[in-house]
Amino acid sequence: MPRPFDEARPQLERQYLEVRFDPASGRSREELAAALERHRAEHPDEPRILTRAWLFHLLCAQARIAVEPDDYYADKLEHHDLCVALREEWRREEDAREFGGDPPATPGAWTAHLDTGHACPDWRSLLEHGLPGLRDRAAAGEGRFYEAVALVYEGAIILCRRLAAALPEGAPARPVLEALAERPPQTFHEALQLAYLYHELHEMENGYSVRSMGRFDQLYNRFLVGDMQAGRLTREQAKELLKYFWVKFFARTQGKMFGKPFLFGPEGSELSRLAFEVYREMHIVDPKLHFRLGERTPAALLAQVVECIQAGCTGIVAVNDAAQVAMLQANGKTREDADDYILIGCYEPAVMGRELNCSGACGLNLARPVEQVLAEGAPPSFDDFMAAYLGLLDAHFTRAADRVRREERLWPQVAPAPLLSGTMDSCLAQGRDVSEGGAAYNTSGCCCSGLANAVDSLAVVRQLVYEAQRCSLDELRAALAANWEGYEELRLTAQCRVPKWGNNDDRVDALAVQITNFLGSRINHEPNARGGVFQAALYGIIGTVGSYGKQTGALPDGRRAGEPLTMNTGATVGMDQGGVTSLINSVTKIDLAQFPNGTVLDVMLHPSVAGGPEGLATIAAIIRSHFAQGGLALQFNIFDANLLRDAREHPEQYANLQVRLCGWNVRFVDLGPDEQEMLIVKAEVA
Amino acid sequence: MTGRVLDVKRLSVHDGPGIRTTIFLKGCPLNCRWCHNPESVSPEPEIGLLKAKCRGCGKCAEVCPEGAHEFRDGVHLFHRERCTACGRCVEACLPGALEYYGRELSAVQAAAAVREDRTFYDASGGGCTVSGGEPLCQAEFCAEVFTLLRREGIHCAVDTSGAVPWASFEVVLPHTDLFLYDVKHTDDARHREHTGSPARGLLANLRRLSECGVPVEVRVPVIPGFNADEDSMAAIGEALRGLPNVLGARLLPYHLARSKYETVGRPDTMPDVVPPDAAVLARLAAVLDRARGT
Repeated sequence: MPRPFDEARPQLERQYLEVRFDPASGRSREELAAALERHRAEHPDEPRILTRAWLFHLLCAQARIAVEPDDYYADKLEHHDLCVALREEWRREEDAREFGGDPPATPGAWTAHLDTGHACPDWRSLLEHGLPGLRDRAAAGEGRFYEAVALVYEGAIILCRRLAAALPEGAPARPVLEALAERPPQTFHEALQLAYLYHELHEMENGYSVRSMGRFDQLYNRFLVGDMQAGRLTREQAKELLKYFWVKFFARTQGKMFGKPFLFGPEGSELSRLAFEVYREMHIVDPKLHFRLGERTPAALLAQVVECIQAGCTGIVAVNDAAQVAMLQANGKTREDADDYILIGCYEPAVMGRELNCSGACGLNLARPVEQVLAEGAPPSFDDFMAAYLGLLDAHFTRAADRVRREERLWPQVAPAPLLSGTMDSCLAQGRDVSEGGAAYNTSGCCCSGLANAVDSLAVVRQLVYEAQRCSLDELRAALAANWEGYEELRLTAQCRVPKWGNNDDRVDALAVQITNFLGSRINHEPNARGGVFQAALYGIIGTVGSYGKQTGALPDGRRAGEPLTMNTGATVGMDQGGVTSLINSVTKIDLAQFPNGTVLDVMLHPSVAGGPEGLATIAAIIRSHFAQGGLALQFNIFDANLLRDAREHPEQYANLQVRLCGWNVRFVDLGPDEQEMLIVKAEVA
Repeated sequence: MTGRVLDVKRLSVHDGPGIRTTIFLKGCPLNCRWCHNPESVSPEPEIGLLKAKCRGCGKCAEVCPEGAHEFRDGVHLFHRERCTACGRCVEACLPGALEYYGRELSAVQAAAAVREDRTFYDASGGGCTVSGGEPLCQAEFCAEVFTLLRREGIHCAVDTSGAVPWASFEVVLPHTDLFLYDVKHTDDARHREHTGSPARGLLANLRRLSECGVPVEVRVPVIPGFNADEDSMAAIGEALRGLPNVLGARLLPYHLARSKYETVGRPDTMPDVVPPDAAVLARLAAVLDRARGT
């Protein structure tokens, strides 16, 4: 029998670091790769979706496996990422043909790529039909798509049988896997095993994916309650099952996981209460939990979530349910579908199992055009400056969207996805893979980053150059070219004497409103190549603001060349002197519903404000206030700067200290020195 | 009508119910040895120097007409006796090492600043608190700010030491939803020794206030060496016993404020005091409640 979780935890957290695959259990990498080459040589004209499905089936049936008799679950398959390698080979081939002759783009201004990683399978359909049901449903159709789907689900069933057979009699996962090979899940244990196995297989098909794990407390509650009512499972046993399941998400990346959120609310269920209890007990950075908060949310459940936030579980994002549903409806979803939204990746709303939102398809660096206007021209007035700035944003989006459309047309030749498609009713009904636009809704995201840098820089140009005439455009240009070296007084003036974004200053905030209104009207409703439209997002995750920052020179807001841009929608670190209420008042002046691909606000609170029973009320009131003003999502860090400094000095004593950075929830001690310093400065301001 | 304002603090959660905006007014008739807002005591405007932020650029010395700022061997000397608080150095100081305490704010401006966070008051049952310093030294200003805010249904509280003539209470009473009332000691001699005034008048004002129908929350700063003992707490509890409209009595533990004394160039009057720990506070709270008869 599995040991109590707390006892087994150290090993469970390391379970993917050195997996011992039994050589006798299957074929080596060389043998598998050779089999693939033979197959391709023998079937030179095979549609790529079938080649991919064949490879998927081969790996399930013949790659090596590993099982742990004392785990509740089994899921380890040594697939060597061969599916991803094949995709990358096709991608290189197609890219060279399609994009080889393109002129170079402005560095750091925009990004565009084929985003196959942001997806959410139809978990409901997977749980209802089970693996055999999905196989049989596809097998009833005719044509290569149905053939491919049936093949991958047959592979998954074979894998269940192999894993079961490798386990000794009496191992808890054995009967579960045997059952899943024959029928849909009927117990909580079976449902979680299926979810994790699917997660691993989706990863095999597509590589690291930041999918949503679905509406967890809604989808899995019937299994939990059914087990408990039938006397098959106690509440304590259910908690153990959930802990063994969730720890895998941490173990996969050692707490450095992006995306993969579990969604809760708004009504909640028995499972919500159990899950937040487990989450608090585990105090673990992964997985991340998103919580839909609305009128239907019971007060006791909200209190439980807020207690988790206060206790330092920074993996929780509070989501404004009513506003999200309204936003989805305004963007073409039916009422019923809008109500069934989940958040993919970090914060990107999509209809569960019916929408492929490709939320990371393209992005814009909002700060880069400020630098370009300064470098290229001398607009006679600030209005002209602003017009030139928006003109460049427009041009950048035009190029990014064009690139995305061309990428999307290549998709069926690069990354057909029969496993994912096989869960979706619309793909089955049309006989089309998701790569061919088979999902019910096919949207493409455009993520806009660096808002604070853009707004602050424009405010500085307006005030210092055009209004106070503190310096000329030439002088400012020279200061930026010198990366502010030798211009310290001007830099301090720009930083300290010009009101900044995030302080509820109407004049500055109006710039943000102007920019975001432009983005919303330009990006949303632009057609993509899959029969859908582009959708704007307003946030910048750490990787994006870092890479844009490296390619962006010094900016008028005082930022030096190469430094990261400001994350998400908040103020630049140290600039939000007015505190959290002013920050929220600023951010909610933006019509956030113009960002159907998601947005979030980070809030940093000091423990003296957020601690104790009154702190619980304060946190809840901040969430409600943000939502009442139209905020869509909110996440918290609650720290004392001195504690963070101590954690930097003595990391060994703070292994458990979590922080929230963008969609990334992580242990403080795993951060680099720059990121640690940024958080310390933020905490000091709070 | 203007007030002399020290600071406007948002997301204030310790100055009354819910999330509040606290307006700190400058000037206090008491001179408590433990005061953690030493910049609030003098009614006159003054300038604070935060040495950690000073980069030694010398701009302040350049603009000061009185020669109050001087740099000697890289050390910033601030000759406060020459300072007229004209504020030019604060304007010139880009890194923000110099701060102006006591700017004039109109009641309309103050009310507008409070109004910004309206949503947060609604969501939390919060509002506005005027503190200090002693806010009732500027009672007309308080009354005018409150009149503007209560017109819009914003909850208004006064955080007072009570060390003002009763007439000042009468100015704010019709406009105030809650009084936070500091009670420090009941013994006149001890009170005078540590605050400069006897306790008598303050307690008399409290008794009279409690008859006026407006809720009062008593707050007791716990100061080691002054009142952090059972006898003092029992006496305070006795004094509160039976007062109507007193919602509760809460202990506020002493905390260090050394850096603030440096900022305003005054010696810390309680340099060696150790803040009371949680166990002491719990014990004293029990004594206080028992003596109050709750």
